[in-house]
Amino acid sequence: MPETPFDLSWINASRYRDHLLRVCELLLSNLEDELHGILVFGSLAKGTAEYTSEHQSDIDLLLLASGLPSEPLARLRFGVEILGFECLGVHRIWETPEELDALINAHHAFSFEIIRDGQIVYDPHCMLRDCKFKVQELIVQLGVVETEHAWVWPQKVPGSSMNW
Amino acid sequence: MSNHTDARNWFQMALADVPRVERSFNAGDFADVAYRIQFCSEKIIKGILLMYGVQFKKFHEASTILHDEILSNPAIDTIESQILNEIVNQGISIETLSTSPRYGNVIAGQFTLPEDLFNAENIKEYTIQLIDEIGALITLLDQKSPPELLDIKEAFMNARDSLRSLVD
Repeated sequence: MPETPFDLSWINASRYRDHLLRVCELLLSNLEDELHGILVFGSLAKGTAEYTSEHQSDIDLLLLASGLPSEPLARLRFGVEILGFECLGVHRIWETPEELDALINAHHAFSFEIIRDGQIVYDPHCMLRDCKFKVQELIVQLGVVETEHAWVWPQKVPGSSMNW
Repeated sequence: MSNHTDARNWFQMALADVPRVERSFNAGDFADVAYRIQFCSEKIIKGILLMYGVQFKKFHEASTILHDEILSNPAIDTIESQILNEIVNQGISIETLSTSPRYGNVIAGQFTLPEDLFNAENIKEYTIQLIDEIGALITLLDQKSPPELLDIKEAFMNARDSLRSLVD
């Protein structure tokens, strides 16, 4: 087996592992040094992904890269040309490292969740690893409680104004 | 970023659905009215969740989260609880439309198009439910009186009047 910079050893299902490897290789060969990280979140990261005739779980990716388009629709389209048909079944969230840092600093719960539960696949500068440590510390420090459906923040008076 | 800033964003999104409801109502596109009512109701509840410090996860019905995460809070007083219960009840009724405004419905193999499901009469029922949900939100904002949401309360009062004119 050729050496790969991607850690996919935790994925048991070869269908997902092979697809993700193709996606990662395309991204790295096209973006090179601009690609700073790949993190898998959602059902595949949690080990609950299903691929049956009734339901096919997507591969959910957080992709860290520099030089991303700032225009929203251009951002949505970004990567489609690189991935071609490999983007089918792959849900992509693109962030620059600065944007991800700002989301974590704004205590954005969805970001907390995907960083905490996500599996790091590619992290050449350890940015994602550092984000994981930061998020784990923040969750404890802020006293935010995760339930099945939501992240509940402590409020002295219900409904009152507070900073996240 | 404060929870009220985020709540405000969702309330503004909900308010933007009201003229869409009106346009579709006046054009006789009642399936689209139902779709817009669903959106508006969901956004109102999401705004309330944020007001109460709840950042919701994806893919869950907003009224369920409101019920499970906020109404169970012992710090909520009786009047507040009654208002929130009213919002949950209206939200549940509207959520039960599920995907029917977009995809129609199949019962015992019999398919009905969205356009055949909704008409001028039955859409009034859902419009009234949205009016009642907005009314409860106005009462809640009155009770909590958050200064940064005062203009939102005014905007919902205007929105409620606009919706009433459709069904009166």
